[in-house]
Amino acid sequence: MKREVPLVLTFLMTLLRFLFEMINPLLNYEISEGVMLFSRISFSVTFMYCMGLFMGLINLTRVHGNTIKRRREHWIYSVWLLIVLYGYAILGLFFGGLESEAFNWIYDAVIVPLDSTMFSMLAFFIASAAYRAFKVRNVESLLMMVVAFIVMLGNVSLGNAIWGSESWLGGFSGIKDWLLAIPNAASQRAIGIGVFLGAYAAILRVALGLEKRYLGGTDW
Amino acid sequence: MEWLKRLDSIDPRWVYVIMALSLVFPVLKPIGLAISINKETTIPVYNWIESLQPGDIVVGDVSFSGGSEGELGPQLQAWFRHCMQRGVKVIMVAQWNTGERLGYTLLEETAEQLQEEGIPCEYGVDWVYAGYKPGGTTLWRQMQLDFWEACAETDMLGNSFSDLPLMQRFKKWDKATASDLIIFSAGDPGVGTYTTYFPDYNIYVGNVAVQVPGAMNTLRAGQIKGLLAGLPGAAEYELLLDKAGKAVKLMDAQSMGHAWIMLLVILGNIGFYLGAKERD
Repeated sequence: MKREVPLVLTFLMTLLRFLFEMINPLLNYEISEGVMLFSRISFSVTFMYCMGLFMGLINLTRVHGNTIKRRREHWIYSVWLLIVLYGYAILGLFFGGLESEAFNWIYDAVIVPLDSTMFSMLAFFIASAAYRAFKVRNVESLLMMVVAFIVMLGNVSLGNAIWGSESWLGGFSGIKDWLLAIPNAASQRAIGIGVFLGAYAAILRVALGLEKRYLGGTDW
Repeated sequence: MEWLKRLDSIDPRWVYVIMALSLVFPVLKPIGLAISINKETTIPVYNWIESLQPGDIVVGDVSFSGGSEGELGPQLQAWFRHCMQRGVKVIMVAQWNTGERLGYTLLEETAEQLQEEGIPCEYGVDWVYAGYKPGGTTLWRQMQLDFWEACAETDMLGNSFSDLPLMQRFKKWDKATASDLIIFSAGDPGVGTYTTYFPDYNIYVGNVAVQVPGAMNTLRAGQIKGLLAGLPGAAEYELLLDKAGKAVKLMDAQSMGHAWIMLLVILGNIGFYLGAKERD
């Protein structure tokens, strides 16, 4: 039963969701006056999202609780993580949430700037990585470098100042647009179709019970 | 010529310092390089808002967080300004909970500026921020059937939809109420939600620059109608509105940053080539 019930549930839910998309009257089907069947399904998904969040909270607490208990390397960061995790959750739940100045200040003055800083550091890493790794060793790498330069210049005003969009071939910007719209779009389509077929096969395997690793454990 | 061979071993600290200077100086003292407007990507978004009538409703989606604020924040603000100038009503949702409040803060900032300029931009009447709702794509499908129920009848601030005049016109998110939408996307969940579940709607996209190549095939295929591409997209939109802002100011910094990267690649290759000749 431990094995069969999740497999049957997975199959039924996949089939149901598929049918909702395939059969329009089913999507609009009302189980009673003004109550749609799909809205009930949708709320069950929302409930699962919330439960997933709760499970994540428990899991993080267990993992980092163990790290603290056994004084593993960098355990002090686990203490900090749990303080931030529970502190922010408590502040949001019991001290006004979005109406709380402290709650909003933490988001505006800590979370957003930290997020931006992490992303901004990419500029430095990319500069350093491009300098160290972008070496012309053969014709292919030369071609890649030329294309990279055109796309970079086509994206910024400096490229426009050197070879403007009103001049021959539309300047760097015109060539960049052509590169993105024709060769790039063609390859993106090929990649997209490949990814979709792979994902479709993986979902089909899960729905039909051929893929069981998501259930955890090792006895199947 | 000996120094030329050392060009492929520049101390990384110099790389970082010069990059920092290249980015900071143009922000403090803009150079004012000309910006050309992309007819394939930016113009369709601008023309879309121009073609709407005052009172029409459009939906916007904030699917980004602080990491992409530099590019998508100015896009969102310029687009929102355009909508308000044209009298177009805006309803915002958010697929990313981490960006929900950020999106609201950006719009609130623009709304205050607009009101100071005498352009009507009243919350609840001209725009509503429904915000993030958990439930993924299934909930987005549910929004099409009953937007109020899907959003638990409240906006991000906890206001009841029944107290917001604009929401009286938006019980369902179908083609009759709002057939046009724009998503400001920095990843997943993002554009896929709309190309999959809203294929008949007119979808416009504001993307971070790194995602633009991946979105070009959907633009070419007509799945999306227009695309604001990274910071240049935001700067172009600001220029179209004749209201140069943050994006235009940052474009010079981006130019200098790109120039430094290209110079580094060229210097690295000179050093590599000369070093290789010597080794041979």
